[in-house]
Amino acid sequence: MGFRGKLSCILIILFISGCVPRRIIVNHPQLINTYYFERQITSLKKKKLLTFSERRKLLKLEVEYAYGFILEDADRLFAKNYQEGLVRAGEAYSLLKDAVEIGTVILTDEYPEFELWLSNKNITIQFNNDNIYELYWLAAAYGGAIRASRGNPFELIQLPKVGKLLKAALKLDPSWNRGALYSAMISYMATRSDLTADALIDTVTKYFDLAVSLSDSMDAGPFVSFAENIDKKFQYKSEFIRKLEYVNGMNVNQDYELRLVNIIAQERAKWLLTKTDEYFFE
Amino acid sequence: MKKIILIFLIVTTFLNARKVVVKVATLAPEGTAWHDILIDLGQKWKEATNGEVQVRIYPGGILGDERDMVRKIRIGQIQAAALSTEGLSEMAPEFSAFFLPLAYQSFEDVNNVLVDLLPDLTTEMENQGIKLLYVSDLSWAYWFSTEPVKVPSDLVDRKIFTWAGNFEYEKVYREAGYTVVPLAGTELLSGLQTGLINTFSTVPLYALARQTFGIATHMLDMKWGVLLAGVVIDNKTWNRIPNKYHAKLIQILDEIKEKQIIINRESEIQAIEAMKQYGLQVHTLSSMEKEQWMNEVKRLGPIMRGNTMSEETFDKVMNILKASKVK
Repeated sequence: MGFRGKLSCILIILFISGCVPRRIIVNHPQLINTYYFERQITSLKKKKLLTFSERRKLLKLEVEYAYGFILEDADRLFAKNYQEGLVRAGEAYSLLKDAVEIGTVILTDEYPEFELWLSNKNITIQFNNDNIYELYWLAAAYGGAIRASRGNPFELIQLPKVGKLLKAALKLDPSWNRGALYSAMISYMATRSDLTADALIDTVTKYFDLAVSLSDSMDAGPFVSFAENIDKKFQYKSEFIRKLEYVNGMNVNQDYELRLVNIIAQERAKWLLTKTDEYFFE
Repeated sequence: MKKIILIFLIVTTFLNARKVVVKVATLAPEGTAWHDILIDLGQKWKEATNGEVQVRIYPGGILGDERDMVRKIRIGQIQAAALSTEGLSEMAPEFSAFFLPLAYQSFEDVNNVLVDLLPDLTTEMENQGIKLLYVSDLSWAYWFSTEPVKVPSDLVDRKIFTWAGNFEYEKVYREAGYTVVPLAGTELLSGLQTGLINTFSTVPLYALARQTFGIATHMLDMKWGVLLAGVVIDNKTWNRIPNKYHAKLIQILDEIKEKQIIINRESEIQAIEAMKQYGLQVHTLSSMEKEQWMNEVKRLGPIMRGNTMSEETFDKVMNILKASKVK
């Protein structure tokens, strides 16, 4: 095994065990990309037949990588070089479309009428708690693909599916993954165009409170999401800064389960704070 | 030490004074093609002026609707805006010539009228201290409804959505014998769900974004109206940008405009296709049905003339379109 192979193994072990030093994730995301996500994804994709758990793993890996790394990178690139940002968003889009396919196949295997249900036909499916994982990651894959497509009508039209999947999961267990479903609902509700400003703020605030309560304020996601989707949109500058500074000051090592998402959210919070003057009209 | 601080202050003041910050407002939500175009524009302008021009975009109606944007330009709170016909006609009312139903059936029609009216429209804006940097077609507007609309008489017993505050059009439709329900854009979907409205005309991408196609499952394949898009900047800001850059900045805008036109036209087709996949039924017209619509517009004409636009503009547009058809 050469140096690269050894480094890869070490990083994978460290990453899985949650021991990757923060500075490696933040300062050398390429290492995580190449040695963890890309290798994991490529190796799973190379297999001719994936087991059920491997398909689930691939679904999550693709969404995490596309959302947490590539789209994050694309957002920063858009601010500097629009064309490069488009290319990077395109990379995320391909992965997320693949994730949509995987999630759909998993659920269709269990429920043959799943796609009809998702397309709003008059069909009822009795999901069980084991399905929350797929429902959540499939919703995230759809949401990510819509965002990465930069307004493609064929993607935009899928938006209600995100809500339908999340609501189905919420019915089963609202406290799943310490409020992850409520946290996702913050971003989804913010895209609803049929709500008046007051209704939008009230609804998103309700999901924010629930998400924060279930994670005991340890998940940075709802704070960043609310700051971006509500505080920025309605120009609540001090609230925007307050929430992002809270995230900025979080000790990401305090909660092992949320460590990676909190590191990513913290980096986003820092970046958003640097854009405060640009976002707020004065 | 005092000298160093003084020099530092003078230098930083001088450097800052050279920078022109252009705050641009738009209704286009973040991450959409129209918003992307503004990002692209901002970066290219910055590059072309070696960082002397910095564009800041306020998307998604953060700064209010288009009327608010125009007001904000006038009082110097923002310097530019990307607007639709609605906002453009706030500054130059004759832009409402593009609200004439069924008058425009091809991009050539739109262009012919635009070429003719543009000098006057530009002058009118210049007189108000505003420079029109860009204008082009954005999309066609079609009828969407819960039950098929194929001929004008189908509209008679319908509850038609109009934009709240658009009193002229409300008046025109009422005088023509139609039932109109003025609502805010955010109430479009709930209006359809509750039966408050059942018919509206809009551009396909808007119908898709508002998710109305699940209820208003019928679209009439007839170009009822055209929507324009334009970018304006206040003259004071434009003149603060050194003259040597003006030609280059306009060239960048023209290049972006070409790209934008292609994107807009593709988006419209894609939006209709996407909605069709989700059950939207698109109805085409027979020549007899078309004839009925043309007659209806002839009936509407005198009501609109002098109401939604000046008599002079109405006649001018009609003559241009007549002449271009003869050609």
